[in-house]
Amino acid sequence: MIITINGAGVRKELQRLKVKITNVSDQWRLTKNGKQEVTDVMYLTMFYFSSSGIPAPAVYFVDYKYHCIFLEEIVGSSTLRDHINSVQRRDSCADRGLHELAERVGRILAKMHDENVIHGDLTTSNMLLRRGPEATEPELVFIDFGLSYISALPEDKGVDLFVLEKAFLSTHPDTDVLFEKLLKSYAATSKMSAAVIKKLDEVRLRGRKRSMVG
Amino acid sequence: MKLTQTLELYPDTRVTQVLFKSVENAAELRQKAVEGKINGALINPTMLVDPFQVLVAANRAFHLHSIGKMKTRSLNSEIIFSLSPTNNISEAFKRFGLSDRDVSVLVVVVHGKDELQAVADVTAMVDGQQLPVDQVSSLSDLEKIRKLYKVTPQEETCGSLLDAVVCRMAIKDVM
Repeated sequence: MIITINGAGVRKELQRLKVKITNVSDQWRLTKNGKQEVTDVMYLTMFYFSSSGIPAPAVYFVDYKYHCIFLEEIVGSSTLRDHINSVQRRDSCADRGLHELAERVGRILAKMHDENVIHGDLTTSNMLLRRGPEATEPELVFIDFGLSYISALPEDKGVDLFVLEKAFLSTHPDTDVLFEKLLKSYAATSKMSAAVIKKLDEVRLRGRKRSMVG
Repeated sequence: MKLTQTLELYPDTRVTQVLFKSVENAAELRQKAVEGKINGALINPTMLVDPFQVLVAANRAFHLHSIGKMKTRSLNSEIIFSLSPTNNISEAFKRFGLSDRDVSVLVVVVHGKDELQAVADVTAMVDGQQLPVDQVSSLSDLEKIRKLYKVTPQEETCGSLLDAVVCRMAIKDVM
């Protein structure tokens, strides 16, 4: 960690970085077709290079000796998971706040997928709500891109959403409506949503069939 | 006034920043730096957003120095190069290093725990008025910074300009 005026960073070990570091430049270029396996650093930097501005922790330092990266620590935050749980426990009328949040998540996911970034591990524990100055909306920040990769395939994006759906519905009971809002907002924001939602439906069907047989 | 911080990854190392405005001898300082007579990096503060940006650059430079992987010839030039979002060394010196007509300068000295004399020696060479380092943002040329680091307006709504800048500094040779 670097001692700073703003606060400390979070250390994260990356095994894959160990292999890539010695073969810089060409191997890191994104190929036009298909997937390219890249690490956290790439995704975080993609966000910073993309004009759509997807919120993720900043990269402070890449350590070439110990093969790890140092990220911005999102201080003053809680996970979306904890937030949904506490709101549901308190008062079901507060759902409207949750609906707005779900829509925001859908919009950010749409932007991410439009940049062809697949998160790979979408859960409400990987979405942080950072409290801003008083009387402002908390900021949504996505974290943990350790399983991320680049893909333009609607199938991969559909699976990404499916993973979130399963995590969402199993962690937070009675949130079908909430997730629908998320998907609607995703569909409205993403330029390629039709194909993705179609794939999502297919994957959902596949999942069900398997459990019927097994 | 001046700001001294420890590099947590290298706990025996300190980074001190000293900020000056109304500098009269920029050309002389630059010449001395070229001749290797200055034990510190001379940075153009209009390209800086925050002292943290300098700390990150110093950390990176020191790290590369410690594993023998610097791209430039000295630790001080590596600090200047680390500030740049690109891998072009001469461009980095041109944009972030001190030039003859500059009227402000941020001096960065990397030193050991007890080597404060090194800081005093470099500070004495500058003919200018010291400012508290945390006021460096009052000298920032934000438009030039945004342009050079290619920061989009959407990024700035999502995170700060400082984050965008530091990110590009951190990953430039991975990309």
